[in-house]
Amino acid sequence: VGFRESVDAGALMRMSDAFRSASEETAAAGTNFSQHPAAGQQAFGAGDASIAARDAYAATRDLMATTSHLLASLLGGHGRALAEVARLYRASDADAADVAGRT
Amino acid sequence: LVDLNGAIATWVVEVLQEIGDPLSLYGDVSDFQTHAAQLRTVQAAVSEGVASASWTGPAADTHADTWRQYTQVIDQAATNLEQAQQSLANHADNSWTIAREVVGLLLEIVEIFAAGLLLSWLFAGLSDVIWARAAPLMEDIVQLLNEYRAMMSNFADTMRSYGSVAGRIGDTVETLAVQYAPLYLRAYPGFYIAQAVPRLMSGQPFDWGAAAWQTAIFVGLDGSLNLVEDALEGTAVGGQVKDAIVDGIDNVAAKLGFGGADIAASDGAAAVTDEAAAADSVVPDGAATQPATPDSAAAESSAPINPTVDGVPDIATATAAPDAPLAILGPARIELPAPTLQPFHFNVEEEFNNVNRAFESAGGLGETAPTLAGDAAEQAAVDGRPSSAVPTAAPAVAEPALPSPAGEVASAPAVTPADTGVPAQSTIAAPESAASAADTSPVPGSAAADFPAEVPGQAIPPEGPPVTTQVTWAPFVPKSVGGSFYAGMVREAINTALGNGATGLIVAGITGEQVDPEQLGLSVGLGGVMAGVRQTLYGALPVGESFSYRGQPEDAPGAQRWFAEIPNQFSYYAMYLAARLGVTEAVIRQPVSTELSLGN
Repeated sequence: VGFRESVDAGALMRMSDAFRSASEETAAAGTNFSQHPAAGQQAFGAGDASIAARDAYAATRDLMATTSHLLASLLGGHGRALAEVARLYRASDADAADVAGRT
Repeated sequence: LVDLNGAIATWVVEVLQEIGDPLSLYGDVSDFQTHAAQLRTVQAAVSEGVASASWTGPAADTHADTWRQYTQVIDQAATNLEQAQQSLANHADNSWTIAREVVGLLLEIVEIFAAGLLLSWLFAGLSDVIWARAAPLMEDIVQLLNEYRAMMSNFADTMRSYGSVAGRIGDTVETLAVQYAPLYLRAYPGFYIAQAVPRLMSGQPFDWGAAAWQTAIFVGLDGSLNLVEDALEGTAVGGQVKDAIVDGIDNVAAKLGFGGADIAASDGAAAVTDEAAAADSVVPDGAATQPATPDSAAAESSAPINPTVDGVPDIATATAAPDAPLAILGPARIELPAPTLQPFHFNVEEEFNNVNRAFESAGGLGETAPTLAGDAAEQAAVDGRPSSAVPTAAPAVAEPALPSPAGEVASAPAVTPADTGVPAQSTIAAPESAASAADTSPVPGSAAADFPAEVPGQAIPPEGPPVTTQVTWAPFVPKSVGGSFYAGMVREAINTALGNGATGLIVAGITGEQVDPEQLGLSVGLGGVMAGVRQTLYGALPVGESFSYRGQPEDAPGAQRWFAEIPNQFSYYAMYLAARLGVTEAVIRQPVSTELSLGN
């Protein structure tokens, strides 16, 4: 082929694993954050303003947890993409070796 | 006396119920801190892994750029959590101090009535004296309750501001996911395979290995071009140019009866179909180094759009032609910090500066009185709602009914909200600036001096439908003809032409092959034009992008929509590459006879 990017497919795979691991940790953290019982009416009181504050607080917690799950998805997708790139580079190397051998 | 005790007891219970138990808030404070620390730990760990991997080349550059954006988003999320944690802690402190003050006053009142109960056996008419002493204390409690409500309102605003930031972070994450994940995941395997189709059909050999690294080069170039174009479209001139093109084509299409003026849909579609847009991402054309296409729809993301409600175009502001079909308004499912689907360029520094400015103007974090917006319109912008949707008044807030002395209702020194000098009914009106709240004098002689002063017209959180926070996808709205033209004949054509030319030169430089000017010219010119046509048809034809999204539920996850588009995209790629190969061979007069050739 005559050209390869300066890359070690093994290093790419390790990086891919790191991303996948990070994805799992982020997802677990988000799940833990969302599953922990948030302060409810007992903490905020029963007035109209208190109820609105409690709702806003609960919504914010949910949104933050959702953000973490999105982050986890993003990191996982990137890890899979890196693995795919590594696979393609390996395939490219194999093709090059095959061509060189036949030549 | 029995009635009096009952009334006092009821009032005390109501007061305590309204105050709640702020101590239990402290249990939540650590949640935010822990979660932020976890995100930072993950960021540090991956950064270390990325830094240790030695990888250079076009694909590596794209990867590095992507990771740089990931780190920014993670940092934003962690910072948001940390600031929310700080606000929650301050709110818990202030609430607890007020609660202690209220409880102390209640105990004093109880003591007064207890003493009065005993003395009343000896002195008749003592109840007047008892009430005279208890009334000021009750007044203080009422004032504290008002301050507590004000603090709750400010806390709700604070939480909304953090929720708004979180929603924007979520949007950014989604934008990255739909722009970069497809860039890797579909560009490589999808186009990588599709580009082989015309060559294999015409009996030409296909070098899979060469196609892999040349594809990587093109992807890097295309990604860079898209970033540049996004930035250009973000400028006033760039936005106007884009609008002029889209609107002009739409008007022409409308006159020709192609329904090109469903502008409301088209502009909104630019936002809500971002995931579809990303599907337009590119890839190079393998061995021939004639890559493909840019992410066109994503390019539209930064364009000015009609005012929307939760990402749904506002039909009232659309300039649709009389006969144009009306845009279908989907239900607004995200009420609170509405994470709209419009891809946007999140400026974390600006966002957090907005929050911090609000905090500072309110006297700091301890005041827990940040509001992101100083006026209704700005608040609407923050919440993603039209300004008209911002409530300007809140319902009356009922005071816990003060008890009246038994049998002396008329003469009792009843404490009313008016007596306290504190408005019993809070109104939001035009969102009070936090500064004005801070300027208001605290209640003398009460614990209020340590807290945000009473705010006349204090904001009460707007009431409305139940809050939902699920991040969902807005309904798919097809592009207008103008939008499709812009995505295809402008961005796609430019990206493909420039990407093909640069890739061809780079590949020639690497392999040492001579550059054939005719081939390069065809690759740039013909490739650009045909790719532009392909992308335009993909956006405009009923069997294009719209066909991919038929039957997709509104709340479908992004991945589902993305996968739904793959087969259609693949077929467009394959047809485009086959047609281009045929045209190219016709132009250079070197047709390749295959089993598909007529007459053979």
